[in-house]
Amino acid sequence: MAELKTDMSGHTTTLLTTDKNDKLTVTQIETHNDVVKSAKPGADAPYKSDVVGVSNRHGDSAAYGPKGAFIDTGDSRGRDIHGGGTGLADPLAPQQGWKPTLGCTRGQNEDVINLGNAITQFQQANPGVVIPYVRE
Amino acid sequence: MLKSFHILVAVFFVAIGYAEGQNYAGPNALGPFRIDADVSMKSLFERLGQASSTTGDVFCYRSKDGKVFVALTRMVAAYDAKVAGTVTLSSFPNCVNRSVETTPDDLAAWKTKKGIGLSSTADEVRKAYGKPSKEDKIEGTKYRWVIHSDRTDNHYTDKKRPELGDAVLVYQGAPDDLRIAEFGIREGKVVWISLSKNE
Repeated sequence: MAELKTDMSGHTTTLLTTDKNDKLTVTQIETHNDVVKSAKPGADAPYKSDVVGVSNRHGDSAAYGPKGAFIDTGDSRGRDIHGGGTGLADPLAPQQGWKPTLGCTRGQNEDVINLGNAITQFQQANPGVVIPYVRE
Repeated sequence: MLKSFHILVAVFFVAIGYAEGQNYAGPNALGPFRIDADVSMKSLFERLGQASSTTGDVFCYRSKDGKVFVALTRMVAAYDAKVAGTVTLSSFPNCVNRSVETTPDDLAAWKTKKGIGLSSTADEVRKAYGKPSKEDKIEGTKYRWVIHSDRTDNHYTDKKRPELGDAVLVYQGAPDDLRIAEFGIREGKVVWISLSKNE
């Protein structure tokens, strides 16, 4: 069993997983949800979805961060979890700094990569098992 | 009485400006791209020429004479990926390990509304837009992002990139304003310009 949750006011995103022996593993990273005024309506709203997993479809990108630092949460509006930050001097650095978003959840690159690795590890060990995601 | 009122109004607006943070003073346009309005990727493709593939986020072009380069980046999906989010114009190749299209457009003519373009001087930028929000040094891996895909195994290549210059003049607004303009300076002249409204 697994669950991914972003606590927008608490500035954390947490993955809880249990293995076949009910051993609980907690992977928690600092994330921010500072959404700018120019964002679309509802960009900062809570939502629920099923996690798709780590995606490299954006490659190394200033807006999204380096490869591995993008977690597709399955949100139809694309409000995913990622690193990067356009306008930062080194948006692909492990600790790149903070930049507001247009609705996504932002973490530091190396933290998002670590969280993504934990998600991938669970998905590989438990094929077909859905990881529900909640942002609240 | 009237004079006192004017002073009061002036103090009020200064206080509001202070409370809201710094106002964006940089350019809002570079060639056909704008950061104060939505410019569609489609309109830029029509102007520059259709990319061989329109999937992905970054699209790279060079001028016919091979002297000017531009990279377009889509806005994030959470906003609208059909809108252009960042444009980076440079006097050196700003895309490696990815396809670069030759455009019939005159990229050397892409300038800001105040006439700043590649080969303008740093002093001309300051004169046009005032004191930058920040003057940054290019060192280490800072600003290596300007050259897209210059990475292997999630690290920048060891190759030195002196073409990026030595300093950057940065214009940005309050923290909740994503507009940003960056001018890369080498030997006192602008060698790259990036305008963005992306997250």
